[in-house]
Amino acid sequence: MPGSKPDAQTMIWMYRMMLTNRIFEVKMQAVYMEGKSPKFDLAKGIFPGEYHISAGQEPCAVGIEPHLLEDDWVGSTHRCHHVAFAHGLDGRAITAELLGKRTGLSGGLGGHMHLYDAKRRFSTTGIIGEGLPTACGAALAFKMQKSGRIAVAFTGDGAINQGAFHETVNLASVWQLPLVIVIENNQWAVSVPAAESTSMHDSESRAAAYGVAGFKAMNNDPEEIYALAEQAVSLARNELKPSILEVMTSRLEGHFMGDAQGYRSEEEISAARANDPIDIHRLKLIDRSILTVSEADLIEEELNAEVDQWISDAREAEYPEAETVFQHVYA
Amino acid sequence: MGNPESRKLNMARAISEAIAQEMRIDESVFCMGEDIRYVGGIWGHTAGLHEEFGDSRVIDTPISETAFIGAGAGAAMAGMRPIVELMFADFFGVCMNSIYSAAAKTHFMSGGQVSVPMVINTAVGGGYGDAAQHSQCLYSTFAHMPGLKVVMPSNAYDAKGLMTAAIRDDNPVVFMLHKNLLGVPFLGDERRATNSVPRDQYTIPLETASIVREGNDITFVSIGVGVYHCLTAADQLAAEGVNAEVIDAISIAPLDRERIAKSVKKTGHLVVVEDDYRSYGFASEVVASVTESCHSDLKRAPLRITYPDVSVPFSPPLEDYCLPNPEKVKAAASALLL
Amino acid sequence: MKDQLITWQNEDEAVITQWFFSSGDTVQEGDVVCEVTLEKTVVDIVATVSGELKILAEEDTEIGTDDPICAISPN
Repeated sequence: MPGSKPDAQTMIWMYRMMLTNRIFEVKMQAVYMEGKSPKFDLAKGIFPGEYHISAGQEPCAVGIEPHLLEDDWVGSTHRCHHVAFAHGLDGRAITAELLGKRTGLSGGLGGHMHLYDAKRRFSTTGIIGEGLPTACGAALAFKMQKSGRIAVAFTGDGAINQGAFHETVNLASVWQLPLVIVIENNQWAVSVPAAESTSMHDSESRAAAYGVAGFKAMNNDPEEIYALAEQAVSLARNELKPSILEVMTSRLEGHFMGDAQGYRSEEEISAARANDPIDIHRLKLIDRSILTVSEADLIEEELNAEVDQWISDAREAEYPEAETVFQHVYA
Repeated sequence: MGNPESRKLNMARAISEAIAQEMRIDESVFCMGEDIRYVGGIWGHTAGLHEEFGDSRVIDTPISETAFIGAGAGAAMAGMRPIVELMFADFFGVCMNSIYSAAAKTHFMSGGQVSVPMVINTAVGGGYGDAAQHSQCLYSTFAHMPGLKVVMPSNAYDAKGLMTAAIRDDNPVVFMLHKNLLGVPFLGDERRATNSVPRDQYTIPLETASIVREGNDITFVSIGVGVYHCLTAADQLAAEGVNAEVIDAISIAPLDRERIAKSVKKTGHLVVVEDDYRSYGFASEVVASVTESCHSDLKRAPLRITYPDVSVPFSPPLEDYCLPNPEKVKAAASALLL
Repeated sequence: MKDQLITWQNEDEAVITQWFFSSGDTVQEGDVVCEVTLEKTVVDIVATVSGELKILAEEDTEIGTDDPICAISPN
């Protein structure tokens, strides 16, 4: 494929990041389900509310992150943990935020769908499409500031049918802004398949309709995404041209934790799990002698221990004081 | 000879002067909206800006409110101070998420990490035949959302100081422009809104109401064009020996509850006047606030003079029937004081 | 320097819609001293010099070509 390949160090980093997310999501599923059985009540347990698992979509994050600079903007969605980890957010603070604790990223005020790290210019939102105009605005600011920085907005296959998507791509195109829109196409918008919600599936044509470059990664493969992301990021950073990078990826779990996925066939789910991108990446590392089996196992062991520590720290941490709700209404 | 500080401006010019003066000293301030370049905004409040600051800082947008108001929020989060325009408040329906979520909630949801220093200019008010989709006020619609500051000046002096303060404030500020008061000739002719405006920069605080007329017998609270209905009614009442205190709330959110309560404690009577729909509104909030804080000082139940709970009709006599006016304010006062 | 007389220089009739100064006020060169409206267009009348203003046509006065609007005594 055109474009460069990630070097060995990057390949190892990708493995670590993807595995961090996966281990986190698996362990946090168990935490989430505490108190929610036999009756699945969202309000119960130490991790209440909604929880959108990003297992399977890890390659989208690790394929793009190596091309980013400090002070680039990254906007993600309700399904954001993989992007947060790849972007360097503190796992302990993420975990605490999910449990609504004082030590969380937002002191417990945001929760799972609203993860922010101002220093890293990272934000997420629970409203479909909301992150697109915001990222477009960051790109506008960077162009005005002549800072050489870009904005990356992650979005989903369902969100591209939201008005905000169309308005944003047109605006970024007519103003020539340094914006990369990454469509994580996991083929499902909750229970509605992309084939039934979207009329145009040829992403290059879709991009061309707005006068921007379009890229499509087909295999949920970090190396493939890396090569295409390099082009998209370069266009933005060096030529102030926006682009759309669509990544065919895989949602291994339901839309949200608790979603029985009755609308998906067993075969489809099994096939997705059989093609787990992390397993495939790990095999590559071993085949290419970048890691030995025991080195790979050691990484997994370390990450398991680390995530366990985040979870136990988060359990022990205190809740914020009630009066905190009045503290951050206004700056 | 003559007072060098006696220069008057209408509200639209006062606002464009405020913006220009702040843009000269702060490079991060820029303007975005529909038709704000060559036309100077359809309300005239960005007149002269494009000539001075050019395409890079005075930007005409496509008709994409969700995108460009959301982009305003994003640019604000990334270090700029945008002044973004929602041409008519009525258009909030196409883009409210950008305002009440992206702009208003970010500071809170980020636990105070991220600020959104932006101004959202928007025009409100009817009375000139623009009918149901272009005449609304919607004060409480915006005021209801935590995280937004919502202000509306009633005169040019306040407008310049308030705009300067709004640009410098680190929060999203919805800056409402009452169409009857801007000085646009085809929209209304309230000449009292034109007053002396100092040439230098100054600010007036965003969260503070103003006593525009002192009195001991009854308190009128209003915003925007309603302030002038109250002043006219107050003049008429004065001829009958009744002295009304008129408060211009200026800040719809947060509301200056203390100043209002202090006045009601003095007078014992309250009439609230606004041109937004009656129920669940600004007037409702003022009455609730006063009832909670100084119920025992009220000699009679407060009255609200508002637009009824109907969409804005086109036909002029029907629109007149709905709008507040000095006669309705005077009648309310008389009812309370008899 | 003698008084500067400002007159209405347009073929169409118009009306003075708003004065931003009073007679006796000091204006600066470049100040918009009043607004004149014809149909839907608003025309700014600009002080050509700094000095003391004398209004020659009040608000709501209709003016035709060459009608006087104001005079400024330079200082």
